Amino acid sequence: MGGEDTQILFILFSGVFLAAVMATFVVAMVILHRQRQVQNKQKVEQLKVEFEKTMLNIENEIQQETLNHIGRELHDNIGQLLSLSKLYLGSSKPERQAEGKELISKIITEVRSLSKSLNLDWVENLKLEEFIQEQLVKIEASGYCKTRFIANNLHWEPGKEQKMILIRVIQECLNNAIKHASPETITITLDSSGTEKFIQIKDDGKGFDTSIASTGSGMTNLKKRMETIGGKFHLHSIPGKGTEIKLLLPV
Amino acid sequence: MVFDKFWELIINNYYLIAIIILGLAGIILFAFLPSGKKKIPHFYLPFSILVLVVFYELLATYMVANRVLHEKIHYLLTSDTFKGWNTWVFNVFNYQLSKILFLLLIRENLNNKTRKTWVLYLIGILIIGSLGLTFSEIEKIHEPQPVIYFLGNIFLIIASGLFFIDLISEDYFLSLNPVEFLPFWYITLILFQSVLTLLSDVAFEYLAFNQVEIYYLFNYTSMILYFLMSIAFIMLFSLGRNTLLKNTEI
Repeated sequence: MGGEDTQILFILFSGVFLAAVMATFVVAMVILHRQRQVQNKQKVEQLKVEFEKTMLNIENEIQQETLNHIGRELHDNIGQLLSLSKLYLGSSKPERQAEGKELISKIITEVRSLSKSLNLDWVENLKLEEFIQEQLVKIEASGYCKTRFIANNLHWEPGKEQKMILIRVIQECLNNAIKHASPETITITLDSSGTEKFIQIKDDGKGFDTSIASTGSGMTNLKKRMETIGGKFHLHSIPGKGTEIKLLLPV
Repeated sequence: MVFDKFWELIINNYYLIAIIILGLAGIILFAFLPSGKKKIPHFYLPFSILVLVVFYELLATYMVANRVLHEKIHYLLTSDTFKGWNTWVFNVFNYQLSKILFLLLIRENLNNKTRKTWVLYLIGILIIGSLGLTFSEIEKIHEPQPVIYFLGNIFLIIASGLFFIDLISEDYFLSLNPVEFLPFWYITLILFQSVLTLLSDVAFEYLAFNQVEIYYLFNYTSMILYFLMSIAFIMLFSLGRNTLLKNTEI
């Protein structure tokens, strides 16, 4: 075989070899893409299961809280009203009997409003801003600390499921602040930055060292709950300088 | 006389006829695209490539047909003796301008910003390298320019590789099926064409003068790949979207 033939063979072989390498490369890329799709599908399914689990837990928690609230209302409010109306209706004085009838009407209204809170439809009707304000009013009314609410022209109405999770996370954050931080003021801000909306819960309490691993699973749970609705949970705290929690959700 | 020769050269070249038909089909289909889509690089870049290829293939053929004009242009470009080569047409429009358009098209199909910047650097290096080598006459415009051919092809191979890396690493592409994604096909064809022509382009001088059969073999392969790529572009214009199936558009 002459030198020229060898060169021709070499060029042809190189061309075929390079084409084969490229074909293998492209096929490998398609296979890798497919594998990634499968992995992603599994991840999405796993997230879906986690989301359903979280929703179930949250529904249970809210129902439990509602039952406690109903129990308290029955004992402290309706029970008292019933006793009083029994007393008034048993009286021989007509004005007392009239007052007793009025009390019965009031009891009916109270029972109706209580029965409404038995299912979770109230979550749908309640606005997130209203919920936050209610919570802050309760804290301030208890005399525990001062509160501030800042909503920067934000008309944010998340879906029912997102709202339920946000409600529970906000409640948990506020409970933690009250239990552990002893703050003078708790501030909640509703705002947006670029592609995200956020709820900032800030207190000027004790704060804590975030580098020390927590023994409880509270923060991890809150983080996981936010992740199930595609959100993020950011915590920043310095001992003596308070705690700042940011609940971020994509717009 | 010149026109008769020009016409004869066209009708005797099946590749040229196919390119002209595809070019015309491309122009008509592009004209019927909604005006909003015409402004999108995913559509106007393939269109520019289609038109450019028809233009330089016809110009190169015309230069062969009209030797007098060709000679005049040759002496405007250089003072070297005129040998009748139309290499300068391919050097300027095929090996430089069309490679830049192909790189821009691949860049448009990338999602990762860093990779987009890398392709922009490759385009910059190609432009500066081509201009530097041509104007310094290290590689004369009317003669084969193996270094520029090498740079153009290698950069296209790198850019195509970046697209495939993007395809497997970016969430943006997760929802699509590559086989139904038209950019996947034309970038695969760009990759194959660049790899196969890399050897023939770099060894152009040797092959064209010593192994003309091998040179034609590579040349025909390149033509077939370009023909397939043009069909992918035509499909892009006729469908008005970058996927074969309607609901999978990204």
